Amino acid sequence: MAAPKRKNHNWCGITLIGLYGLFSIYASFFLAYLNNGKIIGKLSNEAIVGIKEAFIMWGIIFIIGAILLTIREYVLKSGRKEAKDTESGVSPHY
Amino acid sequence: MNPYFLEYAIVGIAGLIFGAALERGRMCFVLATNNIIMAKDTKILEGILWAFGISVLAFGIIESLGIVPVQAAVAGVFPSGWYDLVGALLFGFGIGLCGACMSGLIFRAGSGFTQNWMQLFGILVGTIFFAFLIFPLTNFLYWILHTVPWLALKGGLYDYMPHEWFGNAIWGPFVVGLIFGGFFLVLGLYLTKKRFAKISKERGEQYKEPVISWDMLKFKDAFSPRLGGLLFAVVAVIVFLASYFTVHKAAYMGVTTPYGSFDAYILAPFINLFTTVGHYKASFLPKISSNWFQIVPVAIPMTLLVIATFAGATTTAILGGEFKWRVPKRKIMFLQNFIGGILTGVGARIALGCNIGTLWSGFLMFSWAGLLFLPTLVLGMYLALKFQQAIW
Repeated sequence: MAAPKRKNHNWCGITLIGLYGLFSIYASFFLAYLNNGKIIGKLSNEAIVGIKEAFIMWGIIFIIGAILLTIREYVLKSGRKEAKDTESGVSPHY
Repeated sequence: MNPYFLEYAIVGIAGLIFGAALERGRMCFVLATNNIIMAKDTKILEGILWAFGISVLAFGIIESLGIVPVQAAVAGVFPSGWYDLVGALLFGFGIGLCGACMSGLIFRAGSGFTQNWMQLFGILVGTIFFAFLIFPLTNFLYWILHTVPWLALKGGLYDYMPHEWFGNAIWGPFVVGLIFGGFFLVLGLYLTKKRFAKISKERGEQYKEPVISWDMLKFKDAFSPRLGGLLFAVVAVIVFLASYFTVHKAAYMGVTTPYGSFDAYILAPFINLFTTVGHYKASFLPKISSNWFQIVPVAIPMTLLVIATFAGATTTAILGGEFKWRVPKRKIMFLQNFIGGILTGVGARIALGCNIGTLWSGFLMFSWAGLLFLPTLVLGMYLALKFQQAIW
């Protein structure tokens, strides 16, 4: 029997989480360069190194999170269930 | 270990919790206002009041006990003044047009609402507009630092209520925290009791809501206002303490300055933000300032917190079975959200922050910023609601 039509978009949310991770890693490459042009609020080299490492670490964590959610999708097939409707932006609980 | 790495590592965890609290608690100031005006429903407002009450009281206790010394706490206190009133009006109108405040934007965009991604794009454009045009042309920094005294307060101890009211008394922050935090908590409790009584009357049986349940912890159910509010407050405390104990600088919650950082990261490969762009000369102004990007740090803890908050909100939306890529039926809503986003971005920059950075953190700093921001924010949201009712 053919699988029911997938009506929610969990794959899209998972892609978003992956993109958050990629954005964190992407941003980390520009921290030192952007810091050089500051007039006020210039950070120390120690700060830039620490922040850069944290951005990369969190970027990797978000990507791993996206991979885990993808695995969960294949195991639970929760993406084939209809998403709860929150048309007004307010949960059905409200 | 590098203290900045440790700070940002902890702030990332706080961001994930914050995202979950926003998405599961539906913590949005616009939703709260609209629900009160249109549906006489106070549930979301209750969560916000619990969040404000618990966090303000906690900050008073932390500072009075000296866990974070007052000197460190006031170092991050912004000056407050006329720009809070003006910026909040513009900001309130903008978020009213978009139907989501800064916290609402994150959880709605993170749950797949496309019009809120357009709002975010508008904010990024509005921040650039402010940074390269409004900021240098009006010499904005000068008017903040050299304004007429009764139109502004200096930052630091000058704008720290416990110091203004009680001098150097160690119990000052606790008393001020008790006054404001107590007010928010009592109002939240009153509204909760009133809502329970109303539902009980409608159903003909005693109605009670659990503060926490397994379904809430499994993200199947929305958080109760009290749980959402508590998590909101816990995040502010984590960020405050983590920043102080790692890099010895107390950090307060904020969302819109990081959007400026995102602009810088996105534009970095294409434009040199710090050279000639934005250096305009207006001879009638007393002093020429550079563009806004040159005066804010390249990253603050909140920059990572916002990314983690998006991730937390999207994750809980997926786990709760509520993630859905939602496109509005009326495509004009994209334009409305884009324009609203620009107003939001410009308003937040004028007010030196948003409903998180200036309103909530204003109360957490015990400065006047929160009290100045609140009335015109509500007025702006109300005007936006009336404007939409008139045109649609």
